[in-house]
Amino acid sequence: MIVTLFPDTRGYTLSDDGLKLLYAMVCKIKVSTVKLLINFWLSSIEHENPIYFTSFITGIADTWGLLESHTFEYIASDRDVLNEYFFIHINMLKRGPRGGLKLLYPSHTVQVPLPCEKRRLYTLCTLKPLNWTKEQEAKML
Amino acid sequence: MSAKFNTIFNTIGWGGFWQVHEFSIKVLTQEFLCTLQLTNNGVAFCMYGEEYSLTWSLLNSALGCDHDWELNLDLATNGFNKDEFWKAISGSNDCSNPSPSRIHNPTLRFLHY
Repeated sequence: MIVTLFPDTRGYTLSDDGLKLLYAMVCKIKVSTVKLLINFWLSSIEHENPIYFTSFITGIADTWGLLESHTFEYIASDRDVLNEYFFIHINMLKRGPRGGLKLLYPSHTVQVPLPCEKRRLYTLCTLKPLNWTKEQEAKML
Repeated sequence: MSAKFNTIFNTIGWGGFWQVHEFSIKVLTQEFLCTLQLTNNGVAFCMYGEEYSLTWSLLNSALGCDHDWELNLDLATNGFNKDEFWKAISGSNDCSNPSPSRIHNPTLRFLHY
């Protein structure tokens, strides 16, 4: 969500809207982000922030057939890509000794091997928190 | 993880929306953003010198979202309780500064990014 919908927001803290979108995903609520996007785009202009959401605008033009009837030059710079390297870089993932991926939690020793079938979003007990002890929970604060 | 994301995004109507295949066009972006304004029922903007006025529903479709989904996030999530939801996904009673690193469920944590 942060990279695709609201780029240039820091993502260190979840906004209320971000939490609501996660809630919609958990509860399977069909919701559009179009109003959020337009407000974010307008605020980006107002605050003169860098513009990272250019492909959406090309998509709108493409929908109306404008790309077929005009000449243009694409921006050549590479897109940001969310991949294993990115998540390892932000200390969210690491490779285990046998090469498997493990999900890390800051200031905590618990590591969740991925993929983790029992913690798929639409399975039973999907949101059940990991079994921290109170001491472990305190370390995360 | 991509397969899980596909399932989730299709479930909430974002199937054609979250993967943006188009490349970027600087001049087009500048013209769009310089002319973008809200209207009574959507937005107006210019592209290649032509004026366009789209309803929210049309813009929704243009961006690849299913056109009839709820446009108002607050209405769509009217059962949302921040404290309860944060407790459910993080196990924490403190939602004053919710950090994505505290989300326990792997899929939800990746979805944030």
